[in-house]
Amino acid sequence: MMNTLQETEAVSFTLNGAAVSASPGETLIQTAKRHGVEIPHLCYKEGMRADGNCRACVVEIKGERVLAPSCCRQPQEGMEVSTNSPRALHSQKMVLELLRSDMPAQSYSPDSELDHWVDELQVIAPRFMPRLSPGPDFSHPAIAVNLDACIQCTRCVRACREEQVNDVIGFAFRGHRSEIVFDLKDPMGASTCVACGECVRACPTGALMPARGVGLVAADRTVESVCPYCGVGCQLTYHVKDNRILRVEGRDGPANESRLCVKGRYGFDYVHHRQRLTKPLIRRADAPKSADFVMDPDDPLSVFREASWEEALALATGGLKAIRESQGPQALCGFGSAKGSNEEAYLFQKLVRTGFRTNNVDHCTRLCHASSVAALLEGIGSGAVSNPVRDVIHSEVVLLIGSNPIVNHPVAATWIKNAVKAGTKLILADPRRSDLARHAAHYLQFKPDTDVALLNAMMHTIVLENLVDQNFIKDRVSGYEELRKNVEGFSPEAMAPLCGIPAETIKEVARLFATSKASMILWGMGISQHVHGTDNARCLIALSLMTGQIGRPGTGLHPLRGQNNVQGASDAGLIPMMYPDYQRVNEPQAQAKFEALWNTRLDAKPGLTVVEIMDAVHEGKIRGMYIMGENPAMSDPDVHHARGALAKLDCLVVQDIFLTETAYLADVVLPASAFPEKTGTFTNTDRLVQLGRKALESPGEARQDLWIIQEMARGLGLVWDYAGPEEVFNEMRRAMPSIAGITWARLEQESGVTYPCEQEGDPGQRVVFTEKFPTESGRARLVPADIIPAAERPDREFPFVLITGRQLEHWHTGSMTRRATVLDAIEPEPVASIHPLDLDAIGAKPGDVISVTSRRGTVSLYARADDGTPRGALFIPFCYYEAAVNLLTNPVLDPFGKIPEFKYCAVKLTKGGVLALRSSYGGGQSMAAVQAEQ
Amino acid sequence: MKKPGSHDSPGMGGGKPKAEGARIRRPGGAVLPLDPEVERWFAAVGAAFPASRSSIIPMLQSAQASLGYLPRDAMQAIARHLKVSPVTLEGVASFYAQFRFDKPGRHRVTVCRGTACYVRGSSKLMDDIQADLKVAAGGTTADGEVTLEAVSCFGACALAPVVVVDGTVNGRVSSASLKALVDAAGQHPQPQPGRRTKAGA
Ligand code: SF4
Ligand code: SF4
Ligand code: FES
Ligand code: FES
Repeated sequence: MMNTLQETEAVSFTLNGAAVSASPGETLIQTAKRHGVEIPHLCYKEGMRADGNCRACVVEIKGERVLAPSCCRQPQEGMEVSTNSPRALHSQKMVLELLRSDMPAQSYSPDSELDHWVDELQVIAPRFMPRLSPGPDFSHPAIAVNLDACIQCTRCVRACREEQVNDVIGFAFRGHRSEIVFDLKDPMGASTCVACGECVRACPTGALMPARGVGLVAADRTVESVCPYCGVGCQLTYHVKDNRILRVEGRDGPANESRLCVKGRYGFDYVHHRQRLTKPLIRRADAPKSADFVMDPDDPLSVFREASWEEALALATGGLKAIRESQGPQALCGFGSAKGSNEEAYLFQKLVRTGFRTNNVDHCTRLCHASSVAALLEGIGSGAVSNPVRDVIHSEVVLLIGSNPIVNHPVAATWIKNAVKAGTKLILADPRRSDLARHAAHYLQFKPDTDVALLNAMMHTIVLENLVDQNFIKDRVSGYEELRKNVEGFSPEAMAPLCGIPAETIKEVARLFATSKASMILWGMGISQHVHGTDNARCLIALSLMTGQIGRPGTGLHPLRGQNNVQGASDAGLIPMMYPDYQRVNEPQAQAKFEALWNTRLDAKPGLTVVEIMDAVHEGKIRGMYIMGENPAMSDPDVHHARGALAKLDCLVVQDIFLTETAYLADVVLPASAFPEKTGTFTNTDRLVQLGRKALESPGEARQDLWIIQEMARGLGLVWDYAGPEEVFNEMRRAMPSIAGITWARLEQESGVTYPCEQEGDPGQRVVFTEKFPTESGRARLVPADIIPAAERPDREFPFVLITGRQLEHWHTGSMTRRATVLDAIEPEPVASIHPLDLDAIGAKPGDVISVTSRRGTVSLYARADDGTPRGALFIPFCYYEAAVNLLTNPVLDPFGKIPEFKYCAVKLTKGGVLALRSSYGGGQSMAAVQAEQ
Repeated sequence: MKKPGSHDSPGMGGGKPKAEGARIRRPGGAVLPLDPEVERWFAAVGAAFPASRSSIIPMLQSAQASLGYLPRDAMQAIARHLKVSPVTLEGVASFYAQFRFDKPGRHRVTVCRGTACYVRGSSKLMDDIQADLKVAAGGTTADGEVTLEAVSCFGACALAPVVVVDGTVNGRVSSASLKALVDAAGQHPQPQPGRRTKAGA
């Protein structure tokens, strides 16, 4: 094809009289820029599709009658282009003049690109009466809309519809009345806008700006870092002034290419919240612990007294040491956090293993992907993803199951939506219909809890119709015969009534998946958080292996990691059965290696997991606990039981930035540093190790977490002296072959390196298992799975299924995001999503208070109608302390991953109920106060 | 305190907590269930349209024909059915003058602003009736009684100034007779069939 020629070969032409050469596919404006020639432009923005509507960028091409827009014109061999001929300049200036004279008197943005070009070309623009404008729209908590400064360049439309694919902004009306609208001409704050902020970034004039004048303040400095929230691992830049973060912008990282979501962009001011802990606290003698506490984080001194670091540390380590001495090491345990850095996770587990001398160390991975990891380790020898999220662009088919990335991995979702726009077929399987369903070629709303039935039926079809990749099985897989025999019993016809998906549809998606050139599977907590979570994951692994859809770009298995560092914390050994890099504690070789490295004796007995530890406390076997940054008093299933356990401990030491529900039950609380106050590495869902850099000083006497862990170690008799994260990281490189080749200097320079990276200088492998699997034989193993029903099925007394999870604006137990002003303003109150007909059936309307009761507890909260939630089920996020849904959840565990069944328990609904007196932490309300001042 | 919307508060903004709205807003934005009339139209006619973009205009027309205008819920239902975003639908619908988004009043008063009528004082007519009904041209009174409109020429210039009330053409109208006409129309719960009269006669 002619085009191909043009696109693969460099083109030589003349630019303002000089010979230049254009790279393949480049437009004139891009070539010019590379050669230091700037052409005015407004509707064009680097990285965006050129739209060519403003004509500020016109250039003169010899022999052509009309001027050409350089943003969408490609050079041709021998072309003579002038960007500054009198004709071109005249035309450029005219465009700028017209647009400028239409602008309001006051500029909304210090960085207006229009003003920039007006100055640059010395355009003198007379000002006319401001044109009719719809007036400002300040309805959104994060974004101010002043459409009188809109030049209709459509950059925001492209940002919202083509990049982020949120489809909120558009053009309405026509001719001189045409204007930018949100949804059905709604105020922005009432529209379906998800506040990703991409349109603000795109706007060249300030018509869309950060709210409350935030964009007008100049920063003292900027700091390049990463987002503290989800596993996508977006890179970002903090704009800092006077030790405060003014705003956050996306940075060009491998996972996000400058995109961010609402949490990453607006969820930062929790660090400045008045409830930050700034002094060590010691529990008062007259403050008994109880599982039924009502806490007031504004008044810690009713339960604690302030203390010096010396006193607090002495009490903390003294208490733990006394238990170790009197009850033995197994009476101690530690919970680290997937929110902390790799270095913190590594040091924490080292402290527990060498200081407490037990393997009772775990973290919230147990509550999210433990079952996926168990199945992956068993099947393919590695718990990490095979391909990065952005590989979906190379996939012909993407199977996304039990995951709502629009809410939980928003930027990952944008890559999926982009791929769909480029032709990838999305098969979405989820009992709750998310907004992604609109983009899916096949949306399967299967019944909750029937994953194995659905997946086995797909495999049944693949076997029956000879779609199995026999060569792949022969060369790289074992256990096929057993799997084949197992799925024989799962015909789509037999499974259809079980999972609520017609047999024909099951067959069709099975064929689609098996026969495509590249099919990739991504999944989330909908798969893992079941008593059969490991079986669910086994099925996905088998599906991928039997069709040979792994080991190439656009294929493979990707369990979407929740926390920003859940991958890294697990890698670093923050789990009870493994040392760093998944070396089993009960393998003598591994034990010997770490005994040598750490120069100490180690326990060969695998430790207890999160929920098991709580049980052990109730049994009196565990007496002392050290918690760094976790909040099990909110996040554990049957949280009343967990709170009871925490209250029962002889010594509980909690290190956190806020007085969390967990800290409230502590004997000693150690004030730690927030994410932007420290430096460390974080590993995202793609196995990308990235550097988070310190941007702020901590408030008051809050200290670096690494310092606190070391002081705890010192108190327990260890002599550690790590000068900082770099030294810890270097020790980790010696312990962990997978990251051995990553140097700190390289992290500082490149901000991120993908592992495996075993030798210095390795580029890092984005796609793994291309030749063999990291198992002993090099082959993957198929493991058949049978149907195991959920532990607690609905019955006459408790007829509804409760599904828990997260929502877009709030992170996990809400201790950070509910203190972030914008996020709290968008979602200030606890809500349950429920089908409108079910709501109707209990006589309630949207917005009414309802009560939800399980065998373990009751919560009352607002009802929100959502016809994406299936009939007979309801969904509640677990971030609301005033309606803590984990009071209801069922603490049964998957036998392999030890993960609780958060996605399924039986409840009943009633209209009405008493709301908690307190709500929120005053984040959103404090913004209302700011407004009143103005 | 500055007036919201004054130009001397550049870039300021930031809403109040959306409490009420946030509680009932569904993840995709719509508040469910739909208005019963929309629901009926959708069940009877709407659902039969093929779910493709080429159905956008026919479906909008069908909804308007049966509901009298395009209520929000109808727009939501159409967007959902055709799997297009609400804003895409808004873009199309607002492009054509034939679609209306506000519920029309029970009575419709159209004042001519054509040249002949203008010369004979129709702009004062319009001013007075706007003040009287407390509604701007193009709008509907708060009680849903009257929709006031302007039109450029009825082709009845000989009768200028002309006002059409519920389809009845009235010529040589004065502010006082117009008020009487509107009051009279208000006596009938439903629009009366159209006639041609001369209010002055
Ligand atoms: S903030 Fe994001 S979702 Fe909202 S209108 Fe802008 S681009 Fe669209
Ligand atoms: S997608 Fe995840 S990593 Fe990216 S900005 Fe949002 S929360 Fe942060
Ligand atoms: S920048 Fe090229 S037409 Fe707008
Ligand atoms: S100008 Fe009024 S009817 Fe012609």
